[in-house]
Order: sequence, then C-alpha cells, then structure tokens
Amino acid sequence: MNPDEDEQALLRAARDDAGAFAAFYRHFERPVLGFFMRATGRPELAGDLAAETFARVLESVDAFDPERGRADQWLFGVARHVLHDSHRRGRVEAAARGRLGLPALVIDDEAAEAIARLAGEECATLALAELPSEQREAIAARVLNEREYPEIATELRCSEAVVRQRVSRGLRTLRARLAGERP
Amino acid sequence: MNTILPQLERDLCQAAERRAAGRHAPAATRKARPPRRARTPLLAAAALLATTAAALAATGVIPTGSPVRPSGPVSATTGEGLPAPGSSRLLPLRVADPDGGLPWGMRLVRTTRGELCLQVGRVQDGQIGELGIDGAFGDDGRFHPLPRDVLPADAAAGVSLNATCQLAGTAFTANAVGVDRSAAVSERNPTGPLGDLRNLSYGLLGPNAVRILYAGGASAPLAGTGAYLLVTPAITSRTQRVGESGVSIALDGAPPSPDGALRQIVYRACVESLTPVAGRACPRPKFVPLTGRQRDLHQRLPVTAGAGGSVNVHFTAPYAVTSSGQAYEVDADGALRTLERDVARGQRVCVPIVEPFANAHGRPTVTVTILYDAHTAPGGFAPRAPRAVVIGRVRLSRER
Repeated sequence: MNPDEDEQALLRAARDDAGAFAAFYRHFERPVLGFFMRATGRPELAGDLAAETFARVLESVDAFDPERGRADQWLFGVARHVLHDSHRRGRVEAAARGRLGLPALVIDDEAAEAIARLAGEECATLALAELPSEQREAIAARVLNEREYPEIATELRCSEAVVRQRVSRGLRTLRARLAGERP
Repeated sequence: MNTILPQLERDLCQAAERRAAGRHAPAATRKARPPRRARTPLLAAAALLATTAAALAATGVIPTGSPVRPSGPVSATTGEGLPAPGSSRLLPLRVADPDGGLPWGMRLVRTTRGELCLQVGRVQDGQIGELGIDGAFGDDGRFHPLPRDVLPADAAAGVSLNATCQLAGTAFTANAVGVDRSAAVSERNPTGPLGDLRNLSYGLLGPNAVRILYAGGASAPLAGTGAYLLVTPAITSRTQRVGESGVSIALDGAPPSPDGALRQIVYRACVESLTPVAGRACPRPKFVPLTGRQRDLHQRLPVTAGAGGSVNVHFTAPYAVTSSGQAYEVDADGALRTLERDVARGQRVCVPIVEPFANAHGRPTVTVTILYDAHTAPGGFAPRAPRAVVIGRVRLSRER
C-alpha cells in the first residue's frame, strides 16, 4: 500500500468497510509494533499498546481528514498519545478496546519474538517516510540503493557536498527519532 | 505477509463489522449515548482557562509558568551543541497572531558547534516562550519562557516545526504547516481543530536581502540579518499537510528559494522569485560535478572485535573537528554514519560499528571507509568548494 492507498483504506473504513480496516491493520501492524517495541523494549507491552492504538483509530476513523495529514502521520499521532497516556498513568490504557468489546490480547512466545525483532527496520522505514523529500531522496539513493555521491549529485543537479549534507542531516534525524528523543 | 498478531486482526475486523452493523441498525436498537453532563465541569474549566489565557494575552499580562525543558539529550560537543553563553538574542521583529494575544517573535542562538538557530515563539516581557493552551503544559493558561539553554532536539535536522539550526552564515527559508498557536511542539495534539493551528514562514536571508513579497501581494522590508517571520492561519492542501516542514538553504552559490507564504525575495543585485519578474533574476551558478576527491590519505585502519558481533574501527584524526560544519563519516557499503562530535587533531578515534554487515545483502565482505567532510565556511554567506577526503578503507570479512 502507498500513502494514497492508506488514505483510501481509512476513508473506506469510515464508510463501514471492515475489510478496508483489516487491510490498514495488516499494512501498519509491523511499523506500529516496532515503534512500541523500541519505545518500551518489551514485546508484550508493545502488543498491548498497539492493540489500544488500532482500537482508538477504529473508534475515531470518522475524524480522519486527509487534508490535514497523511494516514500514517495520523496513526502515529494516535500511537504517541497512547504511549504518552500510558506513561502518565503507569499502565496501558484499555478504554477504547473496552468500548469496542475487544477481548484481552494473548501474545505467545513466537509472537513476542517476532515483535522483538521488529524494533529496527520497521521504525526506520516509517521514520524515513516522514523526512523532508530532499533528505529522503538522498538517503534512498545513497543508503538503500548504494549509489556513489558524484552520481547522485549529478542526477539531483547539486554538489556532492549538498548530497552529503542531506544524507547526513536525514540520518541524524532518523537516529534521533529511533532513539526515542522525539518519537 | 501473515500478521504477527492474527487474533488482534480478527478482533478488530469483527469490531469494525459490529460498528458498521450498529450504525446501520434502527435507532431504537442502538446503544444510547452516555449523558454528556458529567463532562461539563471539566470542559467548562478548560474553556475558562483558555478564555482567561486569551483575555490575559490580550492585555499582555499572562502569568509565567515553569520554563520549557530540553526535549532530548544535549551536549556542548555533539550534534548542534549547546547555546553558547551570551549568544541568545531576541530579534525586535513582532508579528500579530490571527487571534490576537501575545505577539510572535524569534530569537537567534549561536551554539557551541558553530550553528545558528532561529527559534519561533510567543513573546512577553522580552522573553520568548510557549503558551499553556490547547493541551500544552496541562492547559494551565500560563506563559512558559524558553530558557537560554534550550534548543529543540531535532532543529538541526531541519524538521522541527518551530526552530531551525543551520551552520552559521547559511541563508535559509523555512516553513512549517500546522504549528499550535501555543508555539509548543512537543505536546502537539494532532487531532486539534485546524483553527487553532498556524502556518509559519520564517528564515534568515543575509545582509544582501532587502525586501520580501508574500502571498496576497504584501511586502516587508528586511534589515540586518535578513530575518523574517510570517504567521498565518493554518491552510492545508494535498502537498502541505499538518506537521510538515521544509527548509531551503543557500548552497552552491544559489540563494534559497521562496518557501511557505513567501513569493519573492529581493536582493540588492537580483530577485529570487517563484514567478517571472521584471527585475534581474538571481543567476543560477553553473554546476560542475566533481571529478575526484582531494588528497586521499590511505591511512591503515586497525580493526578490533567488539561485543556481540560488533567491530571497532580505529583511525588517527588528521584534521580537527570543531563545529558541525566538519565531520568524520563512516561508510560501510552505503550505510553512512556521521560522527557528530568534536575531535582534536591527532586524536585516536574508535568507531564502533554494531552491525557491520547490515548493508552487505549476503555478501561475504564489506568495505568500511572513513571520510572527512567539510561543508560551507562559517561566518559568511559565500559558498565554498566542497571537499571530502578519504582517510582510509578497510575490508571486513564474515567469520567462517
């Protein structure tokens, strides 16, 4: 799914398309679990927080407005609030799940291991998508596609130093966000 | 791809179906909404606080609350550094908020690593700060000053909504969409009403910029550093959404582009504009790709084993790093990392690489390159030739 498809999935979910919400969940399950795993370091807690996050999103899906932000930004805004609320109250909120009638979530060892493995790459993928486009392009070209700086500079019609600065600043932001300085 | 928590997927799907069925059921079978009366005192209290804050803001006597705290780890010798002592300067520029109250303003802060940060906030009694409204600071209705030692953690990366740090001497234009009218970012409520949000256009254009033109045809003169600030009601579009920000910087001899609400920048000798103008357009410098690196040093790089499969690569620093304009970089087959810290000339540097084969894609070896890179020269708005020097390379092989 691309950002437009994410947006369409939420809009269809708001029109009572349960399948669209399931697709939205499948697309963002790993990034959200990875986000919470990195924030808490505990797979079971990450699962619990993710469940409350998706429940809140389902509850308030009517309020999603694509003019105000992308679907992933909205989802992770909710995730940050769930995390913040849980820190403040010292426990994982379950109010939305209660209102929706969701049963308690059981996380077995296999699922816990899978969540623990997510902490890195899924968060990085999402954080990359949130970078300014200039930095995102430069990082994709250099880090993901392993192209040389002079080649990238020629394509982007700027100097090698500019490409380096974009890569450097983008990676600095990614590290700060993945370290939880400002999720 | 299978989900990790299929039970949750199933439960959510069923909840979505129940929700849909409930909304389409006859009204008599729907669950009654709980009475809202119970929430009224809280809402009334919040509204009273907000109203009081707004009223006090109008008279310029908002009570002062606790100072804003740093949002991340800070150090004088890493990242953008710390504000240098005595370097914080509130600019005289004041801009009215669309709803009134305390005006907006900016301060300039020089850091210990050679960056110049421009911070945007609300101003009271010669101090810049944030307001305790719209969810910030527990809606306490107070003015929370920004202490001299506080910078946003990600301002240097150009993605903070209310501040931008650049290497001192770099001209830039910045814009941020959907900043809270409180000027607070860390406690932003992404579901708040659009009417409470603002779009900010601000920047430093340097001493040669004399005037800006912005949306609607209005213009404003510039002086000194060429600082400007525009605060408008938040307007979003398919390309500008709440939470997005952007920075255009002057590099390679080209001035920064008009951004956000800005339409045109008039310099002493030329005009930089989004649309064709009658005046002399600022020339685009001829771009010449570099044909090679300078003075590669081919230093031998000793490697030692670290904990848990990591390795440590060692080198002797041939150049000092004293600002964020210079840095050593580590490139492990495309996985680039910048050592954002001060380094003394001749210092032995140990670079831990936690996952050396993370970018190897199954290959048995990976080449680690240590580079020294310098960007633009601090202290001037002129560009400088880029350079990147290879300090040394070492090939790592997987253990058999």
